[in-house]
Amino acid sequence: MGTTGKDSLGAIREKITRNFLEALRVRKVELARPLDDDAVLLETGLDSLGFAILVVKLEEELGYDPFTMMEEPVYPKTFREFVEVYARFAPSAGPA
Amino acid sequence: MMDEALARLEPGRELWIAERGVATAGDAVRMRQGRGAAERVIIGSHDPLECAKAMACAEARARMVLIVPSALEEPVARRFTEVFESEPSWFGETRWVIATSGTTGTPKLVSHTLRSLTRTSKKDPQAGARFRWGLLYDLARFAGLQVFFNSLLSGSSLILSDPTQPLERRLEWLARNHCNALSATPTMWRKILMSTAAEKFAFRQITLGGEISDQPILDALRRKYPQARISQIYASTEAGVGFAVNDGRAGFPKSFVEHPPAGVELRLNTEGFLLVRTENRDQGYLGARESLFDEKGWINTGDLVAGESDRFVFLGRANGAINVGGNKVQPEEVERVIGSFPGVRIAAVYAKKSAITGQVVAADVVADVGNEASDWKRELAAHCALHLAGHKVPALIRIVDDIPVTQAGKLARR
Repeated sequence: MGTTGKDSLGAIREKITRNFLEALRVRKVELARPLDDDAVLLETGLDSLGFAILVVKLEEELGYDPFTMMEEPVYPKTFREFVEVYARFAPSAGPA
Repeated sequence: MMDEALARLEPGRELWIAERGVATAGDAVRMRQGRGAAERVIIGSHDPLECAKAMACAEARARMVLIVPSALEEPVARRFTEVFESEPSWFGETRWVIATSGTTGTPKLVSHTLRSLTRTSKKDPQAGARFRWGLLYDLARFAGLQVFFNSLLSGSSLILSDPTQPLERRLEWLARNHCNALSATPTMWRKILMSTAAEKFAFRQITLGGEISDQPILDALRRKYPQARISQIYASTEAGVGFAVNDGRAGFPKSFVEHPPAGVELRLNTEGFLLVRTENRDQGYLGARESLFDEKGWINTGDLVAGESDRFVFLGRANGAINVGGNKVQPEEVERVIGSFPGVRIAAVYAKKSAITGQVVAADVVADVGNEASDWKRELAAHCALHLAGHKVPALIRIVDDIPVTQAGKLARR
């Protein structure tokens, strides 16, 4: 893809943010606090069904679901940790 | 696997109607003409014509007819063998033995008589002569047997089609032979309406069964074939033929519980399952200790129904529910809502694994949409959100070219 690791993290973050807001809209809830790095996921207003929807939407867009790929379950607590999970499991960028 | 299964099924005095068996349909014809009855007839041919000939000859002539499914799976073959070795024969009339099409659990063999297979068939040759039935169903399954005997007994013609050909070709063939009566699952009917052959039929009789018929498919068939009588048949391998609904509306009238159609009684149990009790209880499990009936003669159909004004509508099967974080979703309910959205041809709803809620609802949709697919998908999602509780709304909607069906013509549930 020709992007550096840092760029793709930014791209992933942008996609997650967009889908997060979409999932909130689907669940008909308002964002309870700004979606910054330190935002605690459980305080954002999104419920567990909302997160399930978010993960499905992201799989549709990114092509993978990190939560079904991990051997040891990881439960991100903040928005930053959530983004990091996706960054960690991202397929290595393009052919060399 | 077929050959091996046949070999294991072969004791002494049987007549084989099988591709590589010891006998052919010609032998069945000779049996019919000769004296004496065959102990058992085993029908296991892939050729519908061979099957049909053998079936026509075996009734009232053989003590037991075992119909080996066209796609024979190992557990079913094993059941046939076990039953074969243990079952004492001769019940006084021909027993028609078929395997249930259930995809889970131990396969069961159900034995029927001609009576339980054809309970509702009209034996009026004058009326029957107007119909030319097509056969899309597998003859080796309950629905196929039903079409076969009903057309035969009512003096109608029956047009077989080659199951190895694609659906479009089979429909072309049926239309070319002036087929004007056809029985198929709602899923198959949706595919028929999508075929180019659909234009070539002038149906007088349209029969739907084997799955839930929703209002959109009933309406679409009514619009396309205004001359046809549209019947929904409620039947199953276990219960035999239950009842027919001919008013073109989904579900069945609530009045059926108080004033049931001839020969059958209906009841709902406390969990919402439909129970049926038929006058004639010839059918039963073969080689199984458990009974099809409870002590009062009722059969639990495993179909969930719910009241909606003056109707009972079918919600789905007991074991088919999707579990979204502890909330049950019947895929059929979601399919019904998706199916009512303009542009949808066929929808298949299934469970998608989720690390968060265990499962979420997902839908594959065949649709008439052009380049605006993503806008259309968003509108469909909004339509679902409007008509369904949150956990029932598909988290994933995919537009696909085709949706797989089982050999029985039903949506392939995963």
